[in-house]
Amino acid sequence: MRKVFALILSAALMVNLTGCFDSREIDDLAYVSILGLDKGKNNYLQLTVQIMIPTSIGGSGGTSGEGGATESTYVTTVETPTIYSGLNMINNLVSKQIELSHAGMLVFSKELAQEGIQKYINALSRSRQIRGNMYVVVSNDSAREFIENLKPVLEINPIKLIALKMDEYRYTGFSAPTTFINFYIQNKSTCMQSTATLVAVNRYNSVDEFKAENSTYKEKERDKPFEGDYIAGSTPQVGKTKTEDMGLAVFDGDRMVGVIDGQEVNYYLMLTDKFNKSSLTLPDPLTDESLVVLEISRSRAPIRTVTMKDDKPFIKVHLRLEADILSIQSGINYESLDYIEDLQNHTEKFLEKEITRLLGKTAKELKSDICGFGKEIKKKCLTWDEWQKVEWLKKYKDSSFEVNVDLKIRRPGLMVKTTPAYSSEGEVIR
Amino acid sequence: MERITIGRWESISLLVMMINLQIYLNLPRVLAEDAGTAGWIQIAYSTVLILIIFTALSLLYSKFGIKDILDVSNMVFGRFGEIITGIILILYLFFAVSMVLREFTENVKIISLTQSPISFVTSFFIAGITVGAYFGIQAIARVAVLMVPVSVLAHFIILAASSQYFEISNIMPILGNGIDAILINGVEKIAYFSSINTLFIFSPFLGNKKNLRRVGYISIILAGFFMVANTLAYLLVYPYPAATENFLPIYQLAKLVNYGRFFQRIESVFVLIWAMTAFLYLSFVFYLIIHTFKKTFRLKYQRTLIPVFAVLTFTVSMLPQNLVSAIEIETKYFRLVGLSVLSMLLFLSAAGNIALKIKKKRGNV
Repeated sequence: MRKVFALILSAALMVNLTGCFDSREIDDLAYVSILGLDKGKNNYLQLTVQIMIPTSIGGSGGTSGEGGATESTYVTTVETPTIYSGLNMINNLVSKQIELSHAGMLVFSKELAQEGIQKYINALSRSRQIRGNMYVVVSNDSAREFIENLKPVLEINPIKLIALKMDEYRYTGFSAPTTFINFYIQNKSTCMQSTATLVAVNRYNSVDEFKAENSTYKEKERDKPFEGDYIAGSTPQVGKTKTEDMGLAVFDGDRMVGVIDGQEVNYYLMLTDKFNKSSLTLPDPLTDESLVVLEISRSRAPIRTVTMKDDKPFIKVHLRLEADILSIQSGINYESLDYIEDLQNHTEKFLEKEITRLLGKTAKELKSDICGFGKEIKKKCLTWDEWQKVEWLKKYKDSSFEVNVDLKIRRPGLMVKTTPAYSSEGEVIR
Repeated sequence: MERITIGRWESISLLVMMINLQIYLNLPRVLAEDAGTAGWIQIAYSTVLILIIFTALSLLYSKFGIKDILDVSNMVFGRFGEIITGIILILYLFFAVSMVLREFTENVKIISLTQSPISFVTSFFIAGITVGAYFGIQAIARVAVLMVPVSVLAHFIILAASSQYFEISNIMPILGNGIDAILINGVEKIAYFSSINTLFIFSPFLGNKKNLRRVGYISIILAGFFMVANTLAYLLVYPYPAATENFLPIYQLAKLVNYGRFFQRIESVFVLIWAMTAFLYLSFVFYLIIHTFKKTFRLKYQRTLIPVFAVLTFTVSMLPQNLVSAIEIETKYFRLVGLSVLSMLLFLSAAGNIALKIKKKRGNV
């Protein structure tokens, strides 16, 4: 009798509990892949969301390329006082309930970022749906424009597209892993300040429109821009991909105070030990007109020491890197033991100069310790009161820097020496 | 009638699970609030203090064998003393079970069952603890032996997986809010171990007095280790003062875990082990309420009390107006009550010793 009762009870529970209050079918939800925030025209905010269309992503037409690619998401914008009221409005517009647990990117417009974004970060931190690995980016244009132009080309799945795109820093070094949790932690930190990847829509429609003025190369006293001397939106490129990420937006507290370009992000990654590898173009040590290209990679963690001299920070950094040769335009045999040291020393000097310039920029111009040197001083304090008295973020602007780079060239690629080409006039020397 | 006993590891599992329940609620955050970056040192210090107190308590208690605290108070103050002690213990346990029930159900509502009414979620917990109390301490202890290792393993997976976010400078300055905050406020944090009080309620189930001391020491050391490990991991990820913001610290850690496309969103594991721990804690404390009530008032049956106390627990858990009030009551008053009960145990043990000596002198023993 007891067994029969238990069976009936179990069956009754099974039938009734499957449809309890929180049951939500996954195909009844509208999954947001990107959230964008712009300053509103008639209200505080403009909220743009990119919503995934799962049937287009997983369906038979969901191959990469043009076919169906533009239909894997759709974008909608509302003007709203807050993020959540905006989501409520969108819930009223779309047929399914908005779900943020798969959101991969949060885009702030530059205008909004310059005003301060703490209230939005705090609001999203409160949500159980928002995940720490969502990327935080700042759009040089409006967030809406960026989201509308973010068209999948090689990858149709919008979430995978974001993940792949934001992971590019591992081999380009032009952006950084500015995830929501990293941004949140840096934003609340007392010893470092936050950064967000800079994104934009590229304005060039043809190669004739390319302009070097949009590059940052002049600040670096170069004749021509190198590959990283750009910020998002100014890269000379035309093609299907209209959106790009290059450089970082630098924050002081919750306000964006400036940007660093793609090449400077490489140095930022080296200084913060997030650097993996990237190519580095530099002038040939022995000839003026040629270039050398190296693939730089991390060798060991940087050694960073910070001391206070006359109440001003003195920051010493020792970077340890490795490099492989990718290209030697001059044909000089830098691979040989006679020359390799020249190339190594030249690269070290080049990097030391560039990195010192970046650090000077973060201190004097941006007044923002994005590399987190404050951590080194914080470690030396015994109590929180002692650390508070240091007033690190206030003092960072007075910092002076000493950078040492230790670089070892390990491999020359598949060539161990360069022999000249021959023409009717003999050896070709350029 | 066959005497009911539970094994040493079963008792240790129960106690470790009870003490460590606070990790799932808000322990790392409270420690960060109190001692800043040195929260993990503070709880390590409190562990040492409770070990000293437990040593004193077990020495004083050694003459009573495996008698529970009700028997001791009966011996010292007679039947009236036993009833007063029983009522104090019932109120203490009832307070614990009601507040923890409310906090857990609110947490479940925030994390998983957002649309369900609080009474609906609470009724599931009540159903679980009612079943636990019905099957008795042996069943609860056996489930604890099975579940606690699983829970500990899952927990360490979460901690290890969140290590990608560890930043050593987050626990610097090493002394946090200062040596005073660690040492003075650390005394009050002994209250986190107040579940050790229950050892002196279920001591008759341990079989022999050697077990009482061993169970106590091993439980405190293991629970202290888990508390230090969890607080340290949390503080290594979240810098102070941001570490004081999170309402469910370990859940936040679990939420961060992200290794590639296939090892992420493991907070679902957290919710599972969390619910397991809550059910065990609530069932065990609920059982102890019934057991203490029966013993205090010398009733013949205890199962008949289960529905009555289940309804009472459900009702009292609904009293706090909101989650913040429940947390406030739990963090401020419950710890105070826990410490008071611990002091009462010390007092009764000492008084019991004096009573024994007097009786010995008079030749009554």
